Amino acid sequence: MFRKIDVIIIVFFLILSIILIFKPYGYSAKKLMLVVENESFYIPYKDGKINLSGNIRDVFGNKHSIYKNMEFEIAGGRIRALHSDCANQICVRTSWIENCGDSIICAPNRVAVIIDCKEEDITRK
Amino acid sequence: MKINIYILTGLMASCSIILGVIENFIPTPVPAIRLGLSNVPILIMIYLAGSKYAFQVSFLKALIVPVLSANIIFKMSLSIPATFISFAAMAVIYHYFKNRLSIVTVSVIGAVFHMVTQLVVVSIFYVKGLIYTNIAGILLLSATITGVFMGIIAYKIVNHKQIKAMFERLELKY
Repeated sequence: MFRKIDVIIIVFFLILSIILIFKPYGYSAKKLMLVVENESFYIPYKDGKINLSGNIRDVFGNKHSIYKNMEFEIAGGRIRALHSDCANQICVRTSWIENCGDSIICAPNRVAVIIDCKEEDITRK
Repeated sequence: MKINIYILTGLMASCSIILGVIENFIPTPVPAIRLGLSNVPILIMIYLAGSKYAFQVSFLKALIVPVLSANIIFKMSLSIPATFISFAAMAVIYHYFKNRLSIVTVSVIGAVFHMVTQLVVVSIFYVKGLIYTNIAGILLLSATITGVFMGIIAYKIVNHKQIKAMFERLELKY
């Protein structure tokens, strides 16, 4: 069933994926980036709940009005989605994230929370 | 007994659609990934009946699976380009390398192309900057592993004696 070239191709994909998983995602401090539709901004990384149905202040104090029916919870450096109104609930089932490069994605709502450790903004590349 | 190829194409398409709907209910360790069970009938059609009928199966699958699961517009915008590009990759690989590569590799390449297309579409239209996070590596790893398993299932079916005999009795027009 398997020939030599099959094993080579499958092992190539496995090694590529392991490199992509374990490659370092920047060395600066952890920042919490909220990507909503076409804008993205950093939100303060402190314990509490973030409700996206009202106004949100980013780290510079600017107000952003995004009307999405979602809520996030930050506790002890970790973040999770509490509830969401999307159909598949993938963002809620992702559970806690805490490492650099991790993300909670709600693609139908066009919302994502990414733990970003890079110097520059990854959405503007 | 003679079987019409159009009846068989319809049966395979309905098989693919049903597998695509019920795999939503199978839990996986990472919630974003799916098994890709509905790729198995497409692989069988590529190997036993030809790319023309396999394209009909994948066309029906890409259109009807999103209708039967939640978020129609969102899922359709992902499934149509992903299914077509993964079908095109599998058909081209099968056409040029069928003597050198086994069905497992064709399945892995189909799964990887499906995943990459979905990631690129989400990254362009829905959430910007997603392709630079480490979700790409997790999805590529899961696509490779599920591609190997679906390839083994397709290998068992394609090499089954009765199924092979059933397809040989068909009158295929290329």
